[in-house]
Amino acid sequence: MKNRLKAYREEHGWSQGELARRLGVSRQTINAVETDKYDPSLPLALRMAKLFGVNVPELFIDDWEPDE
Amino acid sequence: MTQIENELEAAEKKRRLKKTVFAMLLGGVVGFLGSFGLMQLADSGALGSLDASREIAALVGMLYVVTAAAIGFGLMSPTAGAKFLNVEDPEELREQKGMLGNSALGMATAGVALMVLAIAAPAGPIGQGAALAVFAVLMLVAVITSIASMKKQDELMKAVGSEAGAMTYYLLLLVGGTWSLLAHLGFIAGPQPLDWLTMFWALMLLGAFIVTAKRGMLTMR
Repeated sequence: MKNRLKAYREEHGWSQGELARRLGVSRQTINAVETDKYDPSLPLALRMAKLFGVNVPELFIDDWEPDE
Repeated sequence: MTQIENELEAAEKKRRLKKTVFAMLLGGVVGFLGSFGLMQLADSGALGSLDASREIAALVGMLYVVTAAAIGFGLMSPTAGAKFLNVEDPEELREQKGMLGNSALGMATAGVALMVLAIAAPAGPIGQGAALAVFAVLMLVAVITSIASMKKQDELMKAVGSEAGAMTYYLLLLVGGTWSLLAHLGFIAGPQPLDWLTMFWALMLLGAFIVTAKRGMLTMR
């Protein structure tokens, strides 16, 4: 799933290591999320959104639309 | 994208490619030397008269030991380790020391355990009772260190581990199942007990490799 994690992280001036430390995960996880190799769990996605003060859909982009 | 950004991206791609090639070459050379040394030792008769099953088991065990040694070396010397392990910088290796250290120790003991079985009596020099005792102790250490490593893993590593476990199961069904099926029907000789153990070890490694590759996580950082 595409996301804007890198953009928000850079906006805050944080390195991947700094964001990983704040979220309590490894740097590898941040890298994997930013490069679309891993979709985080719902709790981690919520923590990320809370950290950046945005809603989850602003951070993670899903193009799916329900049928009419 | 500006020209400077394009140049930076190209330089970064080149750096990653160089690191990937270096790691692959290093792995190939160390793997070849280890296999060559083990085969020389086997041919000298010092390990008894090993058949193909035992030789393959010993080689797979050695693969575990070599991999663990590479990680262990990387942890002891993070600056050098960051040049061939898939981390961004030496600091990341220091951050992951607990998890990777336990994991490497678990891999090494599991590898040695399989090697002990490969050179156990009657074909090898280690008595059956001693081989069983050593195997049990080594596997106990492997389980304890693996659990310790797991406790330090975050959700990505746990997800990769779960997927690798499932992949290993399917690979075992495919390889072991097909081999057993053909043996049952009398087309080929069936797997020996040691072959099953070798398959568990080898396919676990292959399963982890496939899952990591599928996620695109083999690309060097």
